[in-house]
Amino acid sequence: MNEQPLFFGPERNLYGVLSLPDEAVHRKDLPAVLLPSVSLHPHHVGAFRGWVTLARRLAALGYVSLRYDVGGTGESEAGTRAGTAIDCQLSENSAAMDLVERRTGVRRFVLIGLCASADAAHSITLREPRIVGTVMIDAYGYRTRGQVLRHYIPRLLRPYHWSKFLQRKLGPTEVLAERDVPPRSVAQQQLQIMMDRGVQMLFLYTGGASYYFNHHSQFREMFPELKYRGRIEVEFDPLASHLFEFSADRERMFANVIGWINARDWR
Amino acid sequence: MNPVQFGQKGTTLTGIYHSPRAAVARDASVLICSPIGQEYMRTHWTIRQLAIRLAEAGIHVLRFDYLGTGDSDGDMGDSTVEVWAENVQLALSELYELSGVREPTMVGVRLGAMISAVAGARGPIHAPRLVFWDPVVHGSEYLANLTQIHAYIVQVARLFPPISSDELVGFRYPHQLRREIEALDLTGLLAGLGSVQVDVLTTESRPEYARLLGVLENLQIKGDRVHVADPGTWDVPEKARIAMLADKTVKAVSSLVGGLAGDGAP
Repeated sequence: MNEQPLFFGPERNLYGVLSLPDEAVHRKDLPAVLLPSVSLHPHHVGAFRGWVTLARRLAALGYVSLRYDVGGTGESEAGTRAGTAIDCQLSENSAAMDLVERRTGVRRFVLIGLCASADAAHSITLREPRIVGTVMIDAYGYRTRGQVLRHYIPRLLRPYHWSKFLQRKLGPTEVLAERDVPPRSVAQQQLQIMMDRGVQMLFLYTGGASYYFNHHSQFREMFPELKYRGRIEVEFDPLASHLFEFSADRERMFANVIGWINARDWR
Repeated sequence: MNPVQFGQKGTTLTGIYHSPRAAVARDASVLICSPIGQEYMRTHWTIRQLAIRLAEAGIHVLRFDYLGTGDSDGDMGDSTVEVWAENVQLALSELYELSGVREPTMVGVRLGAMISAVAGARGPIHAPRLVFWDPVVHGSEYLANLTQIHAYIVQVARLFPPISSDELVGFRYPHQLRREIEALDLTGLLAGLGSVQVDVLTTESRPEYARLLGVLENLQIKGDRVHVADPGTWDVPEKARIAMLADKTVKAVSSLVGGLAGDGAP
């Protein structure tokens, strides 16, 4: 494996590290993997250096990847062009794909996003035809009747949760960042457009998201009218924290993501 | 800012070299030795700002990732303090190649201060000036602090018990690395540094800083002693996962280093 740190983009304001597999394992028919930085840990190495490990394991399997800082975070400067947040995300992602394409000839991509970056991955994938796969970790979600029952009933029965409830009311607690979530019907419509285009998707939810997503069957409850065509897989890891703080969490995430990518027929 | 890679295949180190603004370029260079683990993540933006400021003031700056950290090769679980000290020596050599400046200043942040002192005591490249920014003075206290923060994180996570016992705040500190860190004592390293200037910048009042200053005085090691009321909050569990934006401290360090570095350089 060979890693190349570099600045890229029309303004050369974006920073990333390109991981190139050894020639012996490099397969040019595979898509390249894009790993934008995570909003709560804004550095291209990923939360707890998770993107570095993931990139290196993917390289060992023949995948090119680029982990990069979105504009204004990590080593990247904010771009000077005006536009909405999604305009910026699209142009930065496009610059990342142009770089990989220029350096390696790979023209198809799998975009991985965590938390707000997963929400961005949804918007980018909708508009960017070069993206053929996307992994959205703790992406948007919509509470369903099942989710609410699974969430609250066990809590009502356990004094521990009453005490935790009081502690939360009286002290600090972990809250995920505020997010701009599309209405459920819009998200469903957009997912259908992506799937009809042939995009393969993995939705991975952690226990850190259980306040809005707490069972893998919830996805079908959220989007009952979707025609899946085998293009969406959903995993729920109730033991993992939102940012995969513990190495065991990260190992399960790597296994889920790499297993999913490797099991797809990308030709 | 230019990305750089140095070292050998398999143990390649990655860093960013900030070339000085041409109009004010000086015969001065700074190697920044970052913290490790979660403190690396917390301080990254702040250290980047410091490097940009110093380069704007005409100073060559290199910041880099030790083996097993950031973008450098390897895993933290396979790293040792000895290797990191060798990395510092290699980075000093790289900085000389890039800048041509013979007498660099090392700015060490937290455990980076300790590592810079281990490297400084070892040689062969001599940095005549060390700047310690909220240095870890005793490795054992540092580990105890991380253990407390880790316990808090486990408690907040509630349903997510850690499986591996060698983790602290999201990063692996295996037995060997812990033993090495535990044995580190900055005050014990000072005598071996030879003829150096040691500046100490602190953002909190701690007993170990007082001990460090006392030893520096006893050894008659010269340098500036600066206190900035911009607490690093290194012990505060709730802050452990939040990026540090220490603007006042960055200004103080850049004033300290930018005002003096290079004045005595050949």
